[in-house]
Amino acid sequence: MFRNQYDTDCITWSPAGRIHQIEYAMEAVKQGSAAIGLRSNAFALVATLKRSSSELSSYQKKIFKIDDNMGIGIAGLVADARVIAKYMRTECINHRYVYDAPMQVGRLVVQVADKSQIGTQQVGRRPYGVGLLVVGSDGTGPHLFETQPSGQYFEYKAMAIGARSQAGRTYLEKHFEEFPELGLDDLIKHALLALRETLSTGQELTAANVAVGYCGLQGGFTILEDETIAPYVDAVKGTPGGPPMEEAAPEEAPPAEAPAEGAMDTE
Amino acid sequence: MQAHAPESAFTRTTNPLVTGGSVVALKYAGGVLVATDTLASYGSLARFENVCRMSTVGMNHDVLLAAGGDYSDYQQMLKMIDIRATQEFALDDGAALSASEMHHWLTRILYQRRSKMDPLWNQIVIAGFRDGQVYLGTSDLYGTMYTEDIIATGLGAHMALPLLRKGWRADMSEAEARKLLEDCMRVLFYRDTRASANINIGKVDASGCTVSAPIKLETFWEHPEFVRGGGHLGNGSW
Repeated sequence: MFRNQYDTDCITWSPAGRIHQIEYAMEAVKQGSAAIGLRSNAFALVATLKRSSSELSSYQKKIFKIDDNMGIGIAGLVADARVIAKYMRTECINHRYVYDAPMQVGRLVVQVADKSQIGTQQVGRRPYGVGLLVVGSDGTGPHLFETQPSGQYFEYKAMAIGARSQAGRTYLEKHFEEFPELGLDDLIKHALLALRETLSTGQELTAANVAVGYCGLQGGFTILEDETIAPYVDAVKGTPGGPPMEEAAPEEAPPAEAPAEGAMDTE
Repeated sequence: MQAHAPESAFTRTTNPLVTGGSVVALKYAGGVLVATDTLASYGSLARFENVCRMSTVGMNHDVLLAAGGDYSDYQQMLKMIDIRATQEFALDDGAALSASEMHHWLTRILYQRRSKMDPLWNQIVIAGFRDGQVYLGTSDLYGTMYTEDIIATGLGAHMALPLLRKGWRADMSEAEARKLLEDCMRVLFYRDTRASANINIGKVDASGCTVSAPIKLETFWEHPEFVRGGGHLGNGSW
């Protein structure tokens, strides 16, 4: 690995004005398999590509329900994501206790970002190694946000994070203008097609390795996986485009797929 | 109790000082009307005769809060709401507390304070209008809350509520509702020694939330029963 004397902790600047530990944490997000988020006027939706560590293992879950009106899709360290999910769930339930109403999605995202930032500026702490796509709806409509290990957050019409997510973003950039008016089924179709762009050579979408979470204006965060996502996966099968198949030319510079030995798995 | 407490002991508000009286409120077709009188009493003394016990609150001033009980506790409540509204304004995300959310939040505060044995000594009424829905609710100093079509606090719960039950309909016009409300406040002025004839009426409907300038209720003291008094009944009653 490339090491230098300025990357041992988050509170040391490099002379070039960078904080390497934060950048390494952002790298953990890129190592995790992709998550795609998009929204229409009535729905916010996240789709994830799941990995299994072996033929014998199950696929690692990457979508978490936070509250009736909110959920997250993640890329990076699942263990860190679970910590953040627990925090978000606690905040949501406290909000319901005090106000008898669901939380504003954007306000919770700001709290998560603030919490993430603390890990980038204190001795003895580390940044979270996970990026989130937060989808939900509230009094101001459906929303899609991204949070990063650095503590930055953004609101999007459509976004992709994780491994090979650039291909997914390219797909979304081409199609996002039609999203606002689309129904749920069409949105899911676009999410799966964008997700398909992020597959590596020879890989394909199956009901087992895809999950979709969505939320409508009336709340009710729902996760589609396995048999409930199967019809959608089948529906996009014949659609042209997608990842390079065996006969297609390999990517020019395949990203380092396998992390170094002993590294933590990112999902 | 306090006489026995050492000089340094922490003491709490165990009784209200300057108090407001009843709050009476009712829904009508398309809105809510709320009435309070303008008196704040110091014990039985009519100490402040021209205070307002209701206010439009929240970031957009689209929620009406009216209070009886300790006037300074009501003022503190307004201050807390104002701080909360400023924070919400700073967030600048297009969301603002609804009447329902405001009501639940204030009730949590009331309950928290009663649990510290240091209550905010108020009965509050909250009214709002959002997404075509009228909201009317109340809470007391113990943190008990409920929503209703008609609400009367304080002595009004005994003397105005029966009148409201008799006269109220869901399809009342604003004029009918105003008449019923004024009749209730008039009866309270006749029979409640801590009430005054000057009242504020607050209105919440689709067009927003307003508090009227004080108006003076017409009164008539020459009723034969008033003149004759109740002495002949032999029970001290009127």
